[in-house]
Amino acid sequence: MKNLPRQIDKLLAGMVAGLFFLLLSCVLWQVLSRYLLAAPSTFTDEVARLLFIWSGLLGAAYAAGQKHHLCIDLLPASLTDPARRKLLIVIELCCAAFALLILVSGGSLLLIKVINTGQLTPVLGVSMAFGYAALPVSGLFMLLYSANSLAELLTPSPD
Amino acid sequence: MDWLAVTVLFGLFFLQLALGIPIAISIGLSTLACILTFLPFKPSIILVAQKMASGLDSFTLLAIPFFVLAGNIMNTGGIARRLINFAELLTGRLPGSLVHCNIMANMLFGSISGSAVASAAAVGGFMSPIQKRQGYSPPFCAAANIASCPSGLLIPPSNALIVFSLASGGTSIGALFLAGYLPGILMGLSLMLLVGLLSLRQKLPTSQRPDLRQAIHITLQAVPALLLVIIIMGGIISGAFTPTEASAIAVAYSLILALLFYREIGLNDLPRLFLKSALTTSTIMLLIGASMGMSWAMTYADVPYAISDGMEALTSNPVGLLLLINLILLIVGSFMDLTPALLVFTPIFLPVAMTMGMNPVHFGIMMTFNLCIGICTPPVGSALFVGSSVANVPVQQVILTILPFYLVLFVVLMAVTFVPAISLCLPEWLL
Repeated sequence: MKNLPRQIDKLLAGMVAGLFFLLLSCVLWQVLSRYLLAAPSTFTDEVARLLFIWSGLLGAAYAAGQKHHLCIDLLPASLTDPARRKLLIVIELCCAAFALLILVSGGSLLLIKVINTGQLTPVLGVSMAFGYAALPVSGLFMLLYSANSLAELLTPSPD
Repeated sequence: MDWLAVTVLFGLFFLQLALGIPIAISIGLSTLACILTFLPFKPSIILVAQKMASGLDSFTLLAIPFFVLAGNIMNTGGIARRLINFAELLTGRLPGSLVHCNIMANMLFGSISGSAVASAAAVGGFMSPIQKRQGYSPPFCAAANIASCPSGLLIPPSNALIVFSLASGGTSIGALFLAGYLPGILMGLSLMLLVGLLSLRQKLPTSQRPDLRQAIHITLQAVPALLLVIIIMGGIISGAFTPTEASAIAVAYSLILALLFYREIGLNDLPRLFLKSALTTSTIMLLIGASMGMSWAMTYADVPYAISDGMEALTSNPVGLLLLINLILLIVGSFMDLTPALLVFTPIFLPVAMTMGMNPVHFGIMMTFNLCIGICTPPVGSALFVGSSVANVPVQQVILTILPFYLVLFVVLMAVTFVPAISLCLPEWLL
C-alpha cells in the first residue's frame, strides 16, 4: 500500500506523456496533410480535442499529486506545526471535495446525461462521452492522492 | 444583481485563496457554492462539470501546451546561451553592458520560451556569476533581470495573450500577438535606459569589442532560434496557419534544432520534457476549466454589469476609470499569478472598458502588462523569488534596489494605457 502513490505517479506520468505525444502528432499531421497532400484531414481537429481533454485532466490529477497547482502559500508558510498541520488538512479536504463533488459526481452525472441524449461529435460521429469520461477518471485519481496526503497528515509525526 | 450569490462567490473565493487552497480548486468550489444559492444540488454539479469540460474542448487552447513544450525544448537545448551571446553582441558597447545584455536576452528568450520565470532563471542563472566576477552589484543585476523578464510575455508568441483571447470570448490571437510587440520592446528599452543612467553613475565597464569573425559566428549561432519567431509570426499574420498549428510547427522546429543542429538534447530526454510541459499546461487547464464555470456564474448574477455601474457611479471620467482599473489590477497582480488573474478579471473589467469604447486588443495588452508587474512584486511575485534565488541574493536586498525599476514599469504601463497606438498600430497596419 505504501508504494501505491508512487505507482499511480508512474502510471499517470506515462499516460500524460504518451497522450501529449499523440496530441502533437495529430496536430502536425493536420498541418502536413493540408500543405503537402493538399487533402486536409477533417478528423484530426476532433481527435486532438478529445486527446486534449484527457491529457489536460489526467495531467491536472498528476499535478495535484505533485502539489504543483498554483496557490498563495503565505499563510501555510508562516504557521508552525500544530496549526500548520491543521491548515494543511483543511486544504486537502477542499481538494477532495472539489474532486468528489465536481469531477467524480458532476462528471458522472454529466456522462450519463450525454449517453442518454446520444450527443455525437460532428465529424467522427462518436459519443461526446469519450471526452467527458476524463472528468470522473481524473477526479478518482485526485481523490486517491488526497486520501494519501490526509492519511500522512493524520498520522502523528515520530518526534 | 443577486447579492447572496455574489457574496458567496467572492467571499468563499477570497477566503480559500487566503487559506492557501490551490486557486483552481478555490474557483471551482466557490462557483459551485454560488450556483447552489439558486439551483438544486444535482443540476449545479452537472453544470460546473459541463462548463469545465466544454471549456477545455477547444482547438485554440491547444496552442498553449505546444508553446510550453517548444519553450522547454529551447530551454534545455542550449538556445538560451546562444541568445545571451547574441544579446551581448548587440549591447556590448553600452555602459553596464552585462546588465543590458541580461535585459536584451530576456526579451529574446522570453518571447521564445513564453515564460517569464523560466527566462529569469535561465538568463539570470547564466549571467549572474559573470556579472559578479566583473564587479557588478548582485542585487542591482538581479533587479534588472527580474523587472525585464516579463517582457517576453508581451513579445509574441505569448501564452498569456492566448489565455486573454479565451477569457475575452475570442479576441483575435493574431491581433493580440502583433499588439504585444511594441509594449514588450518598450518595457525592455525603458529598463535599459534606466540601467544606462544608473551605470554611468556607478561607472560600470563596457565589454570588449568582439572581432568581426566572432561577431559573425555568434550571429549565425543565434539566427536559427530567432528564425522560429519569424516562421510562427509570418505564418499567423499571413493566415497560412492558425496559432495552434503554428505552435505545433514551433515544437517540430525546435526539436529539429535541438536534436540535429545544436545537438544538446537526445531522444531519451523527450519523455521528461513532454511530462514537464504537460504538468505546466495541466495546471493552466484546470484553472481555465474552473474559471469557465465562474464566469458563467458571474454573468448569471449580473456581476460585470453591476461593477461597471458601480465604477461609473464613482467616476464617469474615462481617465479616472482606467486608472481605477489599473490600480485594482496592480493589487490583484501582486497576490495572484498572471493566468488565474486574467481568467477571473477579464470578464469583469472588459465590459466596462468596452462601454468606454476601448478596443479589446488594447485592453488585453494593458491588462497583461499590468499583471506582469505583479510577477516582480512582493508578496507573491514568482519572478522576484526565482530571480533572487538564482542570483544568490536575499529577496529583501533586491526589493530595495528594484524600486526605481517598478517606477519605470509603471510609467510604461501608463503610456500603454493612455496611448492606444502603442498597442494598435502594428495590428492595424499588418492585418
